[in-house]
Amino acid sequence: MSRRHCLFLCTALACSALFATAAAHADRTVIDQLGRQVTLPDHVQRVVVLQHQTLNLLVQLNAQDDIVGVMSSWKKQLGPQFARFMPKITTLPMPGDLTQVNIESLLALHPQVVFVANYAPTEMIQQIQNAGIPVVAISLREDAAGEKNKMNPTMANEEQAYNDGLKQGIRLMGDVVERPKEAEALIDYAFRARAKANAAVADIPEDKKVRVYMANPDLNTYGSGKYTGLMMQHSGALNVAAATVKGARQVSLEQVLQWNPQVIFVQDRYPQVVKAIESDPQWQAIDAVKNHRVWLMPEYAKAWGYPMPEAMAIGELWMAKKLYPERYKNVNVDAQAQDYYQHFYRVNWKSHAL
Amino acid sequence: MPSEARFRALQAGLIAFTLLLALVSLCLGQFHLPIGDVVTQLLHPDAQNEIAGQVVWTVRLPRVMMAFLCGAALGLSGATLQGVFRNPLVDPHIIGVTSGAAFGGTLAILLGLSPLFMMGSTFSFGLAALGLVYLIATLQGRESTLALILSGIILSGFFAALVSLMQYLADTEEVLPNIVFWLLGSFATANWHKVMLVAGPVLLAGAVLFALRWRINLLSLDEKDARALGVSVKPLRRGVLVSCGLLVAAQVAVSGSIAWVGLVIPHLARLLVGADHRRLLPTAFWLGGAFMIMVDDLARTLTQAEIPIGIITALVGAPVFTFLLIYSQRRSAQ
Amino acid sequence: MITASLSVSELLYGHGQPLFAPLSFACQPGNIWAVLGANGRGKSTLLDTLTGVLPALGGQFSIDGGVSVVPQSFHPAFAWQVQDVVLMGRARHVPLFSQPSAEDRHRVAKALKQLNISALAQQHVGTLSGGQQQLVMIARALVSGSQNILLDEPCSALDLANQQTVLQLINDLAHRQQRSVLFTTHDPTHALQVASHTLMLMPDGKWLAGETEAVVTDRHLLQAYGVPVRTLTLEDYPRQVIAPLFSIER
Repeated sequence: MSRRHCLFLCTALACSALFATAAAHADRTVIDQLGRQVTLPDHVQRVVVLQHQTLNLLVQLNAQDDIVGVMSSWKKQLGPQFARFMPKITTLPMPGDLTQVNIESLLALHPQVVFVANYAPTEMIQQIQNAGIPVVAISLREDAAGEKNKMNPTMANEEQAYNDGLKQGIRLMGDVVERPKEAEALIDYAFRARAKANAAVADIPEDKKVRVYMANPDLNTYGSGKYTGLMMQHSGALNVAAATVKGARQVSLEQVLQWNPQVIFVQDRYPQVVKAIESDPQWQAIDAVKNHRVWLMPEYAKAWGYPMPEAMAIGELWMAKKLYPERYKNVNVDAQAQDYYQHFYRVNWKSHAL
Repeated sequence: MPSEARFRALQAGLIAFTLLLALVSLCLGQFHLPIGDVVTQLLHPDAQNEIAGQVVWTVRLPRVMMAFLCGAALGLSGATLQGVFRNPLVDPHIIGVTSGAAFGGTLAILLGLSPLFMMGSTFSFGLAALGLVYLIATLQGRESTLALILSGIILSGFFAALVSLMQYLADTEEVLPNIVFWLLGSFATANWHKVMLVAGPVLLAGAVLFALRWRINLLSLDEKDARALGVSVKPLRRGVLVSCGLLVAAQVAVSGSIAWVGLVIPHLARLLVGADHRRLLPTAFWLGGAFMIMVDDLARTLTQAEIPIGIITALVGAPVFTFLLIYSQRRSAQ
Repeated sequence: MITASLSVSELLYGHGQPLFAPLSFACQPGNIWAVLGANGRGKSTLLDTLTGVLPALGGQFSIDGGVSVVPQSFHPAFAWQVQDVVLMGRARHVPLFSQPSAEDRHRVAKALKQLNISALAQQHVGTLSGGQQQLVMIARALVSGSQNILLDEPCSALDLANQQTVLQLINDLAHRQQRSVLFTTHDPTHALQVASHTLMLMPDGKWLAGETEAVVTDRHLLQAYGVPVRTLTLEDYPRQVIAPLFSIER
């Protein structure tokens, strides 16, 4: 071999050795939805989830086997029925919640990554980070820079912010738990199903839209800046609270009486609210109550502050059909739900017979 | 004096007990570490076992120290304020600092400020509240203890209303839980940085109060009586109240508002060593620290998640206080 | 000529408005001054002014060798021990950031011994009788080492036996320890018993000061109290006593 050849070979060997060592420490970086750069191990198999939306999405990405710890309020946030998608959740350790974590319980689980909400206290995020555990913050909302972890940021375009945010979030999760194919499939299905469902009511003018109120317990509701209003819009409805209320807030009964909604929806996780409204004499004067249009939404119609793909894919369809049945005569919502549930939850869909 | 020797023994015993308690607390926690490991980590800070070292040095040790310093601050300020206001039913909250600090912290959460700014806001508003108490008292034309207490009540009420306002303005799903959790008090996010931040004021103000411990006996006399004895009551009281303000503001800044400790510990200390503040203040300091370490042990080991410490101090404090009242009544009746 | 350790010159005092015409008198070591006057006349206010608690409204007074006051009553907020209460009298001698020294404790022990209450040293003040509390207060005044001792109605709440004790003590403070003692009372007999001089505070801002025999007369007392009195001289008793002649309508 000539000297030049030799030199070249040696350099090549040296370079490859360098890359080999780099590959052996196998790390990758992602950017979470708070704009933070997070370094993760290449293969993640131990995940702690301290946010219910993320939990829901990870199950739909078929990543539940990687979850080793969940937030303590999952039952309250997702409903106890959620356990049927992930039976082992009832035995999982609960080292923390949305706003606090017991760092020792967390360390004892030896997690490789922790998912938190974007509104988790900065101190909590810092503490987990300082303990050497990567933290990925999920917001499901694409905000302008500087408003990334504020509540009720001013969103120039709510629709776009949530659409893009959801896609970004799902892709980020898929990236972290190494299920990129499932992530794309979920995004694809959800947005296509929604486009199809929304078509039938897309042409309803503003003043003809049904006026709807979202009733959470204790006179809490969602105003503008939340996915709830967007969901209603997609279903051809108008959120009565959107004009004057910003964010998730408690309102007064007088306000509700003034709005006089034609329909009242209640989320599946608060069944007691339906009974409360129907039996409360103070609510009887409202149009919706008079005409018996106080409806409990099915589990998949998650009219939350943050969008969930099942809400987009079937929830909006359900709501639209409920409000404008004549436009959806040939659409079998239950069949759609069954399709989705089999696909992404891998169980059968059972309605509560509303 | 035989009682002097007995006091020294009691004091030494209390300090030894607290240190032992701290050591035992280092062995408690959700992360299972056998005692041998803990001891090894303590003796060899740079040992190879990474996670155990981390748990002991960056999780448990700062937390135990922070609990100690906060409990000691509350015990000391509670005992001092009970003396200054001549009333054993006084709690450190009476000077309005806790409410002001609570407002500062809540405001910071609402505005989404960084942790450092949040601590700054809490601390500043706490001291500002004390300043306002003095302002109101002075505007009334008198700086007596009654005027100060009334002003303290007014300001506490005002700041509490502001805190409620902040809670009302907060998003119910995302910000409000943060505020509620912080208000209940917690040592969960303890780190060395926070320990330094609280150690400064606590040791400084603590040293001042410790040096003044005999003078505080004089402050607990009738104002006229004290002045006739040659004590310049107003300046002395101002200095003492500012020191207490520093203690309380620092404590709230790093761990949220914690009730009952400042009320119950001085009583317990008084039962042990009597009313003389030369003995009472150091005893309340160490007893408060020990108590808080114990309560925090419960907060972080009872369940897998964290229980806010304010809940435990209230649940434990109220019955203990009732018992102390009954016991001391019985004792004085004999 | 012995110089007065407490001298008052054209003093005006009161809460905002002067209660009396400008006051002048002087206490010399070894003298006992009784301040007589009806309730509410301003006796306590005078003591407050002399100790500096209340600012004087005019004139001046000078004090040599410090002044200590024995208050009328003591309501402790906490369960103090007698020795701790007496120790508080050393307030002027202990620097701000210091603790009482062995010297201070020694003086406390000495004062307690002087007043024969050493046995009470570790008892709680709240458990003592009125008379014993008064002695504790006097001990507290003693430890400050002041030349001038002022007592605010020391006998008003005491029974006769305790009054005897306190009056004897007042006597001893002046004659055995050469202090200047001033005490207020509304019982003129006390003045006759121990006081060398008397200041009588009259209605309408007037006052009389001088040797007790000259000031405490039936006529002056009638002016001061509005109740006629008779000064009695008894065969078998060295001092005169004052008998009030109440007129009760039956």
